[in-house]
Amino acid sequence: MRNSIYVFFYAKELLILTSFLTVCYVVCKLSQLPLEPLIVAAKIVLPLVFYGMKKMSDKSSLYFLYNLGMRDFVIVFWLLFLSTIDLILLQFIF
Amino acid sequence: MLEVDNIEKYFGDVQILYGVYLKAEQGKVTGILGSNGCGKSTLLKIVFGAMKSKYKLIKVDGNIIQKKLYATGLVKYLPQHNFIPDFMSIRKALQLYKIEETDFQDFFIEDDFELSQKFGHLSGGQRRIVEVFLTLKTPSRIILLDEPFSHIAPVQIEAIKALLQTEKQHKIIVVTDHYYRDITEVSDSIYLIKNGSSKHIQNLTELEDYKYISEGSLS
Repeated sequence: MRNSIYVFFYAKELLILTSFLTVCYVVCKLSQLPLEPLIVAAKIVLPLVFYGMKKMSDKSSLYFLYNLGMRDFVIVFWLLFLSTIDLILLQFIF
Repeated sequence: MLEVDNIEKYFGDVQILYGVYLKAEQGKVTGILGSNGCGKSTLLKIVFGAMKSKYKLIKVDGNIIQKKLYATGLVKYLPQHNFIPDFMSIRKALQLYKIEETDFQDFFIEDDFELSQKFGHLSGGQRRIVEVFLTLKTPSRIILLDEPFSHIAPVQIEAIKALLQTEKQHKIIVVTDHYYRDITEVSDSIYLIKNGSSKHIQNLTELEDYKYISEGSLS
């Protein structure tokens, strides 16, 4: 588990995208646009798509995480956590 | 001892591996040879646990391994392509692979690597040799190397061969590469993947008999 930090670096593209979605979520909340459910769904689906694409790529840096002994479900868990934890926090803020 | 048996792999309807058997022992380098697309890399990925197969049986020291081999922490795998992320420094990679910095500096005494250098700033060849070194030198019990001699300068290939001979004393090493002369030189035991099956090579002339190399190539 102590090497889980590397999932964050490994998924930096996902982090950028999910940060953008967080901003969209806040804007929707403040302007009362009905897009929040779509954004929440995207935040959940994106990590799975990201992981699936990495898994299918033969040149994948997933081997790096595997060599650290990290298993698939742990990687997926961290990606989901990364992508959606802010939504839970935002629920408290708004 | 690492023993893999009955490995069958399909890509769609096409069967690539038909019940492959392989035995690799500590103190010996086990080489895998085979023509392009015969399934050498696929076999290593299946053993490592990164690829599923229809059937497989993996035993380490006689014990059947039910979970993915990489999840046991017993194995390190060098894939064909660069796999260490660009953002990582050599120093950090050494820590993660539990290798002393002095071992690295001793091995690369002729090269001017900075430990703070990030992998993304290394050339393709530099990156490859460092990745091969890390995978070989790490204290894991089983080492799987896919094309460790590719993209590496001849003088460094010799250094890697010497390192293989040292590390095999306390590790189980399986290696595959297209450069069959390098494989035959470093290996104590050789398997040829032919028509989806593994054949244990007792004498190098069998490589000619199986038409893996043309007749007279060995002379």
